[in-house]
Amino acid sequence: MSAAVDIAEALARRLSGVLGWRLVANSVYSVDVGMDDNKLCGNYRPPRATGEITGGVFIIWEDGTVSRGRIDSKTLSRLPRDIELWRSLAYRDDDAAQIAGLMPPTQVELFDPRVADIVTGDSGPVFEAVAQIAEAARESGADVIDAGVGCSAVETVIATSSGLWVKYPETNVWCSWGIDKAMSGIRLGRDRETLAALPRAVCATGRLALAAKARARVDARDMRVILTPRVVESFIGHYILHNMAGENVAEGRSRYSPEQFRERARVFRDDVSLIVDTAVPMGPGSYLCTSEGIPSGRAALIEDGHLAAPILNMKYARRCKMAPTPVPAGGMPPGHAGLTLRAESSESWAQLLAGADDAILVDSVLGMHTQDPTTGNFSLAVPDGIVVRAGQFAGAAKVVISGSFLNAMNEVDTRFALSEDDPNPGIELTCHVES
Amino acid sequence: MSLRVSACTEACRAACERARELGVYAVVRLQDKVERAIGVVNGRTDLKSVEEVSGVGVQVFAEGGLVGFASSDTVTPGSLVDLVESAARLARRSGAYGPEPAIGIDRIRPLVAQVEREVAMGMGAIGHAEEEDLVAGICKMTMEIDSRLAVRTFYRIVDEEWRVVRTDGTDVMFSMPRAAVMNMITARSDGHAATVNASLAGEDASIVASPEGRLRLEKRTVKAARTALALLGAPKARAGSYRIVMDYALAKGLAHEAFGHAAESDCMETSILGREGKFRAGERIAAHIVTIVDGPLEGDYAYQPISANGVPRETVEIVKNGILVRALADVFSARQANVPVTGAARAESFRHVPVPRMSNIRITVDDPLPIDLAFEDVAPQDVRDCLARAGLLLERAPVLYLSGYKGGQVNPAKGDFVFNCSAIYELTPTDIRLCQPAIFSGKVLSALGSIIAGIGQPILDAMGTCGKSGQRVPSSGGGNMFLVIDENEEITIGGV
Repeated sequence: MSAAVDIAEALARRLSGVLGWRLVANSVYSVDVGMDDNKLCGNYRPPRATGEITGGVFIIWEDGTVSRGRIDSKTLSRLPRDIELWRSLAYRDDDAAQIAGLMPPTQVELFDPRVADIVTGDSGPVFEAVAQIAEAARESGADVIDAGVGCSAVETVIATSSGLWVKYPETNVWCSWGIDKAMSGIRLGRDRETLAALPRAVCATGRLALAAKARARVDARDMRVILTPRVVESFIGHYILHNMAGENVAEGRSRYSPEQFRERARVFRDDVSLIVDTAVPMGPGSYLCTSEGIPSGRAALIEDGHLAAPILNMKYARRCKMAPTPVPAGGMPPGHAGLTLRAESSESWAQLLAGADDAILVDSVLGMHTQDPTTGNFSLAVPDGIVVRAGQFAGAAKVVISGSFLNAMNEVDTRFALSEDDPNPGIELTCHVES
Repeated sequence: MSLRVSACTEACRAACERARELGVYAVVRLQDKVERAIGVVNGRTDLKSVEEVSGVGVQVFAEGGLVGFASSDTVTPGSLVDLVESAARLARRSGAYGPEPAIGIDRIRPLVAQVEREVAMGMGAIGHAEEEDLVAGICKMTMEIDSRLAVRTFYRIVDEEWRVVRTDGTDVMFSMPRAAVMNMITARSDGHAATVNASLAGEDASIVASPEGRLRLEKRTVKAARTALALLGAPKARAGSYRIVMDYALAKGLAHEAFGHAAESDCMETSILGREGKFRAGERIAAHIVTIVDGPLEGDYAYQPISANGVPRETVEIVKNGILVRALADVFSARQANVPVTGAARAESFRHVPVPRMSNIRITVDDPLPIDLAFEDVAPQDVRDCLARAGLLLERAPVLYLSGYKGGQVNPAKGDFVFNCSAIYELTPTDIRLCQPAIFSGKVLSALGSIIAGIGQPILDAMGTCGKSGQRVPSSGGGNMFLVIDENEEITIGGV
């Protein structure tokens, strides 16, 4: 896997005359196996192997204009034509026109050779993991099972005109499952052990799916709703991530303004914080440094209920006159990408469920992406809201829940509960429920 | 003009030869996409890029129906041979785990064809600098409407080509040109915020560079900006069931999310439109006035003339006069669903395995009520007046007019759908009140069965992106300018 290095070295040589540059090149190989509607592989989910080069380059030309380009496996053969193409696309973006000074990348382990062996050698463990999921789901009473398991091995090169040259390997493992088209789960990691703990997690999903088979009735009213950690992840990704993104803050498309961050405005309850940490050893969202050369690490974005910092790359850090932050990795749920919500008063997930009475447990919603994140309001369909009475599941009802997620983070009666399987908590809050 | 993918003949031939040597059937899918994009945020250029993406996916079918897939962004004879070997190895490895055998690929006829869609204002028609000026102009024009607005304008033009080669001699090439512009408008004031989008899509740069396209986009933008501003102080709609009138973009959402996915042959074993795995053809599912059609339209944003398996894509009457007629089917699941193949397979990229899905879906109603205005010029009072003339306005409760589509989601197995709008207007004989958007949710068949009227002629350019199976492909569609859905207790407006 040296293609990424070859491309990076060739580009670095070709770009030596410009004002500044940075690049990232990833050589990615993966294998995945799936099951749809109880059918392993078949037409629509055949076992799949992929290999390609992905990445990008950012250039500051002599006149201060900038260009962004895409790197792939053809880049090497297209030089110098690609550089001329990128030059033809140059535009002025003074806040973006900067290259980070040389900073040592954080040393964080991201590679398991046993996972790399699965990708480049025997793919059997991936098939076996899908079989394990299916078996655990069937034992839980599942009628219809969907599952997917995949592994990838990546070699990454990050380089800048400041002298940064980082090359490191990483591995990824992802597993997902769905039961009866109603409940689902996900597990992400970087090591072989990610595959080992699947049955227990699948059984937990199976219990919810089993509870949803009996139907219950709920009267329309304001009532307590318990969002599972998986659903909280989607709320964080939609509402909090949007409003904390530096681009949206700087450009007036967030609920919060740069001034509110500078004034450390109080937006959540005093014991609630939002942390980004991209240097967790073997964390699925961890990395050594960002594509801009900013070392990974930990930062408080909301601290004790007060706005501390938006998520800032170098461009929006300059525009907001603040320091850049570690940036959550894209393409995965926020918690796995390093973004976690924490409340000092958190209890255990099992304790919260056991103590719940006259509540709706929500593990899946329809329509999250249709909501306006700037308002904080939500109005979501829940096809299988599980009625909880005296800590026991009492069937499921189709309901619509509505409220304000951001306001709920400021309510004294909102409860947070952590489980050992999920990076973010489950949350109990008051919603309006329509049946 | 020749397509870029025509240059890969030697690599395709090498792949097919290796497949025959290995005793497997192979489908080779080459993708070559050039995409130019411009993003302008609050009047400043934020993105200007050209992406050239090409690669190949190889799906092989081995003895006993074993299937494997491999892809790479390297397209050479050697790399394709490697992919065939890798896919065959995976297919045979799966045999130890009891996989579902693939059926159907050997039942389709070989096809040699080339469909190249030439457009008047393609990527070469105007330069990147001119495009930047046009997009920046749209953004700045929007900002000038009101100082409380933040605006992100994003434009992209795509020249995408595919080539599908099979070991049975099939060799088809086709192009799918498209362009879209979206204005995301956020109004903020006194701690309140609201976002409304205005968009226009088509096959080329005329959406921003022609006077007609520019005028339509400006009118939509002004309407959206004023709605966003008005929403800052708007009350909440009371949750419940109402008679509803929705615009054609929402009608497309209803047809696509609530119905179209359930008509795709790969999900018939769990779909509400299937019974024991077979499509419920011949059953009445809507009033006799309702027809639903999906198929490629020339000039459309989601145009695709040939499927990703190399089968011509048909225009399919899924529902005719309220009766379920045909499903959207590909070669792999048509027989099990008891429906004919319609060439419905689409894939996001060379990395993906195709699945049956929609392109342009439209829901239309016979004998629509007339309205003598262009869609961009229709105000809520025009909708109310039209309903009043037809006797469809209610005395006892408001009719809710849902405006602007903001996405949706469906569970085809359960028949549940949700989608959201940009704004809701409560229409009564004496008043019109703007309310905050709220989700429209319910049961698919209840919604279809409750359609009672249409207003205006069909408009089919509602743009979207379909996300089925984790693959994002362009989609579009529409319906009559407005659809009227009667009150039904299984269809609710959510409330916020």
